[in-house]
Amino acid sequence: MSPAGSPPHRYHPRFPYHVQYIKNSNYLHFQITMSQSAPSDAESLPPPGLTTHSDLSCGHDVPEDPAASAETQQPSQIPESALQTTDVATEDTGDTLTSSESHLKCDGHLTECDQSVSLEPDATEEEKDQEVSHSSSRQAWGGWGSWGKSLLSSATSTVGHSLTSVKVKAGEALRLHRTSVGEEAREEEEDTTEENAVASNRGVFSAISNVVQNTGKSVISGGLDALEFIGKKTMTVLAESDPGFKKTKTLMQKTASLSQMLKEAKEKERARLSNQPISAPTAHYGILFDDYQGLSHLEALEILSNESEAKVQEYLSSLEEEEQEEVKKELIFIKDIFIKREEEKEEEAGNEEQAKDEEFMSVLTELLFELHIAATPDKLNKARISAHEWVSKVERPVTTETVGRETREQPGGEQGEEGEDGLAKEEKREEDDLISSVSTSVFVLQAVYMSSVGSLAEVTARSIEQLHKVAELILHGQEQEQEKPARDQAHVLTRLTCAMCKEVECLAGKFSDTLLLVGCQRKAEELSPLIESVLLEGSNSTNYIQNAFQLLLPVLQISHIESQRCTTFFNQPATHVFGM
Amino acid sequence: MAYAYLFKYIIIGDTGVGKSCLLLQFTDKRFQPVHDLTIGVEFGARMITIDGKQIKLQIWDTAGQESFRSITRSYYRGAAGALLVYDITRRDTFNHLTTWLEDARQHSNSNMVIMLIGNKSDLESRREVKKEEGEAFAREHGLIFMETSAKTASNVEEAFINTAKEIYEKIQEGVFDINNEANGIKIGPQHPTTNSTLPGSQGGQQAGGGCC
Repeated sequence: MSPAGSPPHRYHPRFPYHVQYIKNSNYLHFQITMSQSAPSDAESLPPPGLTTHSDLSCGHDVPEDPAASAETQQPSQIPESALQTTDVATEDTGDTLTSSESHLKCDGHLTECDQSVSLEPDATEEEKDQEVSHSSSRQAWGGWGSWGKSLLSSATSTVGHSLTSVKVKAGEALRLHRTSVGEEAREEEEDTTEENAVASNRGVFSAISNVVQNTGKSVISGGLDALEFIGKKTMTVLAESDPGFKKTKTLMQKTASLSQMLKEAKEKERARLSNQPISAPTAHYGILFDDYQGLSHLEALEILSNESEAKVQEYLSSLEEEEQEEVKKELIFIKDIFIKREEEKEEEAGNEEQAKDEEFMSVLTELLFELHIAATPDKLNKARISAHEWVSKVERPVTTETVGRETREQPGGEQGEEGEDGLAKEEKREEDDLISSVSTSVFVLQAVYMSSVGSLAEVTARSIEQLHKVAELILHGQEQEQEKPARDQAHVLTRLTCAMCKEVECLAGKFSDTLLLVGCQRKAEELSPLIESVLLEGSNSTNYIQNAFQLLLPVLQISHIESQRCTTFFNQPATHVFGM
Repeated sequence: MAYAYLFKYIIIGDTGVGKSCLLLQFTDKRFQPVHDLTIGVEFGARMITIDGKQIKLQIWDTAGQESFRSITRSYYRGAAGALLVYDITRRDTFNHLTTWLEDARQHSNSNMVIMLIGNKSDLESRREVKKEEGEAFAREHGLIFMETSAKTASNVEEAFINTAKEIYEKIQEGVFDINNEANGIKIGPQHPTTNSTLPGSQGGQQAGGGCC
């Protein structure tokens, strides 16, 4: 059994993915080639999601630099901005697609397409892409990208197998259209898979997946019933096997702010659930995240961030040119600290590979103390402690009997059923050990899965709450005039966020290990969607936290401006131009 | 689970009047005699039923301390209802109502329903503000009024629910534009489409329909 706390990207050796991963790597070809054309389109557009930031910089007629600063913020808000460009980019990329599509047609041979591109070079190019455009999220790519790929391939393998066999049979009938249309169909499937697997990297793919999907749809409905059937079926399978699927899909379409998107995704999920008869219990990250008030805190943080940004712009535009340049320099300095974060993170990761359990807490407390603000990490800590506790409870007794009992006690889950099951099993455990352990492990697996998703949602919500509290206290402390310089705070916050993300990554890794441990007797088809889902939510979680972190930048900037004003005009505190 | 409407509430008023306790009583049916000072804003949510419709109340419980005022003001916007709370045993909290009211009116939409709450009605012996005074203030400013006790739970449900009823009526009368989220009202997710259970290929259209 694998040890606790191994990072999520270290894929479990016992997992049958790697073989299929290589075997099916050619399937990845399409997303990757297309994704390279897509982002350029997407990037050339102003990100509507940053309305507050960029709009303000334009609206107030402020010189380029703040505008630039607003723009450089966007990388870290990939999910948001990329999603918003999706709709607009669709038309543009449509052209790109048709051209590549016709290219495929010219090739005429499926095999040629398949072999022409290997995953690796493309992947690295893609990463370079990321590096350039999303420099601040580089680390996320490095660490998470690798398992994202394996996830993708594993999911693709399921689809790929059935499809290939059907395609062989249907081959004769479809002949001429096969290459182009068949590719389309597959692309579509892969795209949906992709959305699940690489949701964290949506920035690149979102723009293209819609196009591909739409084109795919229209081609299929163009008359090829067989392929339509396959496509539909695959979609259903995908949708069924991954509860995060619909949410991700919904997210892709939205144009509002991050909290808005999350909210709507959650509501759709809720609505869907309420329409369904209550059958198989599945964990829904979005709903749980909202129940832990993660959305509300994010929304409130967004409000503070937007207002701070407006005040920064207002202040800048009130300054004389020289003065303005000076202040802008200082603000950009703070911004740079926020972006540099990623490099530091890498160094840190190298130094302390295995983060001890207690460490997180002390680091967190220490960092919050360093901020000179009176925020305590109690709630966050409680959440993560309970997460670690249930994991170690499940891990300690390796026999499924004990696992059954332990998981029943874990917090946050509404798993009523397996209580009876556990009791029934205890009675006859002597006799048919094997049979009972197999039957219970289904429930145990579900329970572990639900707790995993629940814990991720809780820890993430608490992390965002923490960042929100920090923002409030920074703005509050501004009036008390006793806090640290904003640039120092920026450094500390950077480390704080890293610590949170690392903790979430570590938890997601632990959860997937636990799932493997508990589900070792289950089939891979049963186990892998759960593991994928947990890892996916883990990477989503770090994204949310990092987005929340970026929202703190304007807060620090206005705090800096205010404190500068206090020192400069120390004797005339009445000169505060802001309402704050 | 699903709701027809979501209303955003804010709870405002001087520090120590029992805002967080009212929220805790309403959401958890608990009373905590000693409560931490609220930093900025805290949240609570509960589902209620009005006119056979499920309504989700999303409550923003703001810090009462003066020093947080500039921050909490930011949160007023987009609230459909406000609970303006004073402590019947502390006259100064009643005297500050005008400031709170001005603040609330200035930073939120004009249709916001405001419920004036005289809290700690269980402490009759220490009463400093007569019920009639509260009623008069409410009448004068067009507010709804109630005296509550977060400790005994007296009128707590009613305060939250009556506010929601008022908002609901305003919706029925067409005063609130429910499609404008700045009003603090959101339509629940079940309205746009019912085919959300269809597989992924429908996702795009469905999401599109949702925003219309």
